[in-house]
Amino acid sequence: MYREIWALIKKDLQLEWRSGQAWSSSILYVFTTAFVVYLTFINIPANLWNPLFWIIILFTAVNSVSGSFSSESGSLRLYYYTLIDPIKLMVSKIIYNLLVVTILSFLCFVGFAFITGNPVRHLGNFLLILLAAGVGLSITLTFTAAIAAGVKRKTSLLTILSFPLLIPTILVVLKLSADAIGLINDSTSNQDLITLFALDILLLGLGILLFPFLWKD
Amino acid sequence: MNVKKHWWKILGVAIVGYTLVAGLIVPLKPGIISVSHKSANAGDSLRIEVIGYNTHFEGGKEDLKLWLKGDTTFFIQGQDVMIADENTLEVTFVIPALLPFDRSVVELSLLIYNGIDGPFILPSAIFITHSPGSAGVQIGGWMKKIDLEIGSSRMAFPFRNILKETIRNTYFHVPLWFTMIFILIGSVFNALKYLRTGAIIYDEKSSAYATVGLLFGILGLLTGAVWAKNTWGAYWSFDIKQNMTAIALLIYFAYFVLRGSLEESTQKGKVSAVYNIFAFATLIPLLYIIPRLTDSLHPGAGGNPAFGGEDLDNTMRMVFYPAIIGWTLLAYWMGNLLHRAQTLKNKILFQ
Repeated sequence: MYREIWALIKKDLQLEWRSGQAWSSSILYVFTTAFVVYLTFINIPANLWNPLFWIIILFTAVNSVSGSFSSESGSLRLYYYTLIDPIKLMVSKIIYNLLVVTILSFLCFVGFAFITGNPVRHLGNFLLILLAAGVGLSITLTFTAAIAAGVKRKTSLLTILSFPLLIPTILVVLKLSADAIGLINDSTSNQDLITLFALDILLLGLGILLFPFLWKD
Repeated sequence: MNVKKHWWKILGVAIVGYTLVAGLIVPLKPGIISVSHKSANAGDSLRIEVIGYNTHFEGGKEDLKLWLKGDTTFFIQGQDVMIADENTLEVTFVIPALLPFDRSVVELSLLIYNGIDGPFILPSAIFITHSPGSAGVQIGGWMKKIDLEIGSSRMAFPFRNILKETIRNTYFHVPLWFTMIFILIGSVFNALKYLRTGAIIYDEKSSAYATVGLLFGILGLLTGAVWAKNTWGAYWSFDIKQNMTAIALLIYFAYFVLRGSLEESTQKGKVSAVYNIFAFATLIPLLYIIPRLTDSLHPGAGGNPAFGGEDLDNTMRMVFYPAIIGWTLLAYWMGNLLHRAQTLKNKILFQ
């Protein structure tokens, strides 16, 4: 089971590595957005830095995950369908997207902090929050990308489908990272983290349960 | 028309009609809107103006009595009552210098009784400051016990201080949400059936119920906003319950966008059934779990008690529960009509 999932992740990684196009465009997207935000705001106070940073992350994540089910052509999909258990495919896609989103959000943090200054006080906490947000984003976005895969105007539909689902995650993450930056002193952050993970687990369970029906198409 | 088959539609309309009439016509119980002074010191002689609501001060003049009440055994009777009109009067309370309480600030409730209205009360009407330590001292000026006959038994809804007449919204706002949840459960049930059987009728039904559910959700949000304007002060108060509700409705709007952008009918059915189940599963935490975890003004959220218990008395139950049943029957009927209309449209289109 693990070997199959690992093989699928490796396949995606190798494909990306060889073409290199998606990676480089995503990274460029992150830095360009961060730079545009910097140019429009110039001096960014910490209470503005926090929401701006997460909005950049949100758009970057949607942009980078949107293609995860459409890179394969129709006949290749049929071939996979005969070969692979859909649950394993889903899990591998989620892990792959988690990798992508986490690396991109880390790069975004480095880039954004480089040009606008770094207001984060508790760096360890902040990196943990980046990871937790990556988990939530990749689970939700992978599932919505699977739903939107067969549609023509894919990117706009993906945004419509995923943004409302992502708002609870973003709200909790905003609060947690405001705590890590030192804007607020939040004593209930443990509870927020539990809420966030409970939501993630719910979405993950639903995604895995429902994906086989989508895959049969 | 076959009455045996359609009785529930008649029942639904009759119940909704009943709740509209009863919910809007039955008056509120008498209550006290305000008193002119909120605080006093022990030993004062306090003259206050009392403004009542739906009260009969003039008509029930003969046996009108007023008390300030602390705990269950402390009463000060009002003197020199001067009645201005049915809803306004002035009264003097002579507050004794020594009060039997350990606290330095004593919260007293205003209790009014007359033969027409029966007893009614304004909790925490006046705060008295005194020097404690005199507890147990028995000095005149207050009574230990009063006897009241329970007033007339006219049918009336309870008077709550902030809610006032908006308490009637209980028969609209809350049942509309209940109905939305019921009809969306119906929608998810049909979506599951579609995924199991693949029969297109279940997909059509599921989408029709989801449409009606969304309509009821919007109505619930609007009635809630009107209620919030009157009790919280603004239509939208950045309350977690309101925000999460808006998000939940956005998720359902996305369902229809998704349906609109898929063309081939089996793919459309499958994808939208999957999304429907997904949307319903995220609706429950958004509406009922997350608001409970953080601060909120809404009853049942942020540690507030849910509306019910002492707020929902038997008179209100007589309208509230039928309202839920009536709206649900109506919504089910609407869903079926919508489904039939769509089926006919498809028939004409693909003939």
